[in-house]
Amino acid sequence: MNERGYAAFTVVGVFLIILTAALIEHFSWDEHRVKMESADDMVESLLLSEAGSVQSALRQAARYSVYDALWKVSKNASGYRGREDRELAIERIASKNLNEFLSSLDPWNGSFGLDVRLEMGQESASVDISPWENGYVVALVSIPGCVIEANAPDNSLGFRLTYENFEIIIDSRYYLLEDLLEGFAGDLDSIEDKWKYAEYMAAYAEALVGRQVTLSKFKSQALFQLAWASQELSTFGSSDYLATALSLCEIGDVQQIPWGYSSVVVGNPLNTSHIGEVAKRVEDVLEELEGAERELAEVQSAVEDIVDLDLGDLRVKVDGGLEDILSFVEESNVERVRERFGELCEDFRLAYSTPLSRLEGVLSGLEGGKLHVQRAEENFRQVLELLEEIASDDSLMAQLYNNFTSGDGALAKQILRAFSGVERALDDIKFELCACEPGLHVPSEISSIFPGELEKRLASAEDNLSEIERILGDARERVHKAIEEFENFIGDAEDNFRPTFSRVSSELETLLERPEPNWFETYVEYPDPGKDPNADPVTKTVRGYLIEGGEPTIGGLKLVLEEVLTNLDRLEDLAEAFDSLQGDLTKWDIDGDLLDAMEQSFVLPSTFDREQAYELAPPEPIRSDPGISVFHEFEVADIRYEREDPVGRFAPSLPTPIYLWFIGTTIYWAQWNVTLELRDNPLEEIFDYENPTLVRPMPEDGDSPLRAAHKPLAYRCELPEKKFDFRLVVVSLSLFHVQHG
Amino acid sequence: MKENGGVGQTLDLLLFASMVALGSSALISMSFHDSDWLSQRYATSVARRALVSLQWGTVGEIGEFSFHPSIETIWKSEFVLKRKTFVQLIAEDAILNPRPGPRGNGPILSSNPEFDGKVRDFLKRALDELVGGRFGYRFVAEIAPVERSGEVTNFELVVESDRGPEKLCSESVSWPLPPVLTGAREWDLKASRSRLVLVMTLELWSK
Repeated sequence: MNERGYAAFTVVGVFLIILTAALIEHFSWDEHRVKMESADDMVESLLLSEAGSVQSALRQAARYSVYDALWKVSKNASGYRGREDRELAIERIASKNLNEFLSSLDPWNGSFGLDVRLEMGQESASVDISPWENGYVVALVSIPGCVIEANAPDNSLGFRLTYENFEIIIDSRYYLLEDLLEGFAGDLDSIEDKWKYAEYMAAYAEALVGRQVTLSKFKSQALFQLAWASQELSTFGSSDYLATALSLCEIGDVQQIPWGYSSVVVGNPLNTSHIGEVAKRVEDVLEELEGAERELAEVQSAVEDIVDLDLGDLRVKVDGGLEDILSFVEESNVERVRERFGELCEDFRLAYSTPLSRLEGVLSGLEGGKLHVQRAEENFRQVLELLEEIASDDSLMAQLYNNFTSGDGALAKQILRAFSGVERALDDIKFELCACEPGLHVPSEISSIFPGELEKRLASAEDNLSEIERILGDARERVHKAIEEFENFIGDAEDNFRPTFSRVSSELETLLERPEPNWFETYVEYPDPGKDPNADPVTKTVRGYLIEGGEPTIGGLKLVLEEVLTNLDRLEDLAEAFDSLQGDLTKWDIDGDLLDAMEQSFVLPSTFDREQAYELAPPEPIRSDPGISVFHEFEVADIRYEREDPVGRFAPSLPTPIYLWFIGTTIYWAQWNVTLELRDNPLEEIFDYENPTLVRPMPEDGDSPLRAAHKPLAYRCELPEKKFDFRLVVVSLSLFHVQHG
Repeated sequence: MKENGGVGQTLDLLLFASMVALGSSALISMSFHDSDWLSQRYATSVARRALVSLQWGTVGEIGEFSFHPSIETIWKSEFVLKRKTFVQLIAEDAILNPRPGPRGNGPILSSNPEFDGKVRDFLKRALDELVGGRFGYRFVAEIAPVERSGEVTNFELVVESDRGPEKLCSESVSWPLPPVLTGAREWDLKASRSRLVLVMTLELWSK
């Protein structure tokens, strides 16, 4: 510093140098510290990632252990007693695999000098599996005493991580496969039902259209395959369509099978509800005819009595009345005299009008009878309309309608003509009776005798007793004369009309009479459906009434309609018997997607059999949900058709007839017990196509060029059923023949 | 005296200026220290995270991994994997497509070459996403050669991108393969009672 107080720049510079050196020292130390800390971070991160690798390795080892166990058990699913057994086996194999892996790790060191050790306890590792969402598997892995210990080389950093229990989701839908295949195995009856329905469709189509039922083992086998494939499709969302297509190649195009044939006919060939409805209408017709019968029977008895009058009563009444009047005159009881005289007059007027009123009663009864007949005819026309209506969607009822109505001599036409005939006959009777009416009016000459003008005279006599007595005197003289004249009139009328009335009565009797059978037929009756087919057939004679052979009568109509009703009731009984023989039919249609899938052409790779090829490359499922591929293997050993209807046992080409003479119909039926037997228990295998997660080594001794391959989990099961059977009953109203193809 | 004073002042200033220059250069040299070390450290961290992702991440996070089965069929069949980790894919590729030969250099015995190609493509996509934005990379997955009946089998899978001249880090992870996965005859080590370890190395390079 000089005398003016200024310091030299050098001094300031020295200070700056000192300051800079201090700063450098500070920064150097700070950098060293940061590097040291960073190294620690790096070591820590490395240790953590190494530990993470160990965890990942353990998890994946457990996963592959479970994959292997799932494969081994589910490929032999039917070798275990049930779900629990399978689950235990999977857990046992998975645990064994995992322990094998763990034993190869001890001690396992990481790669870069970091000491990563895996400690394990004395106890073995175990795996427990349980269902997860959508049929996947969740595995709870337990490695007792498992600790991952990681230390830096200089022991400056380290940690121990307990990793005893962890869960892993196994991406294979073992539980879904198990559920689906168990469901399929438990519902093999549905395959039988579908096969049965398909056979019914084919048989009815042939019987009703071609009049020939062909029993073919190829066809049955193909229908069975289709039923199987359809059941697979409805259970798994796919089917072994390649196998089905192969088997169908033997019978040609599956489109030839008559899918869509009227299931109403197949399911219920003799529709009991339809038959019952027709029978009910026929009963209505009969009810009206019975009404007519009652009315006309009364008419018949009344017509004979029209002029059958006994005047003795009138005489007694007259004598009694006159005596009463005299006693009233003596008592001077004019009122009572008039009253009693009036009654006497009324008795006479009633007697005079009796023949006419009886005729009117008869005519009215006749009209009532005719009305019943008309109603019966109307009801019968409704029966025909109903039959026609039913026939539009029921081909067997159409046949019945046709038999009943077609041709001039058809029963329905005979009945309708008979109704017209009966109505005409009733009109004729009415005409005849109406012609009698004028002759039954009592002439005024008779009625003027008594009571004549005496009633008026009595009224005008007032209380004049002497006049009254005079009038009564006249009355006493006239009444007997009037009775006498009336008696003569009746006698004349009887002479005139008796023949008419007798003829009418006889005509009515004929109308009402139940006619004797006028035709008969001898035939052989075989045991009914459901009865012992070995029972001897019986020769029988049926007797019936043919309207055309005689006069149209109500009795005849009734008899014919009762016979029709008997046959309809029998038809109903037969329908029930056939229903019970064939059992339920479950309608189904072959799925269009299944048909499309089957139309693919394909060849199998020569190195592998079909099952191996499916394991390696399962065919794409028909439906994406749930995405399951299907394999099946079965061989049909035999198909048998055992004829069960009586005629079929000795004449295999013919059906058994059941004659329903009164409705002009014959039912033809044939019945078989159809049995299909498989050579071995069928094999069903499904694949979790959506999850091809398993890597399986290929067997060393095989010729396979592959070392390993991805496969989806397969669930393979031998099914318990080898025999499938059902009863085939074909019913037709037309004759058909049976052929074995 | 005036002349002597001027010279002194000049020397003083020169000394001061040289001291300031010395201090400044020392400070400047401090402020640019070790940028290489920092980028290596970052690269190491990224590589490590990428390896963890390959072990724990599933292919579904990148997209759909589909391939055809190992045998050719006329019927339609296509496999899709969604839940496998990348390491699983690599391990399964090793099992499916080993390379045997007298010195492990024979033709690849490919059970599913399409799978091998798809795994490589998929890994490339994954690594491009994980590290490719900032670094060049080289990923190698290998199984140490296995000798069996005089024949050596190995497996090596390399996936790499364009990269610059400077290697920033190399991180590895080992992954023991479970015995149930190694049943194919080329990898079957039951007789030797040893085990297969898949070693995966990820090198990150400058771009």
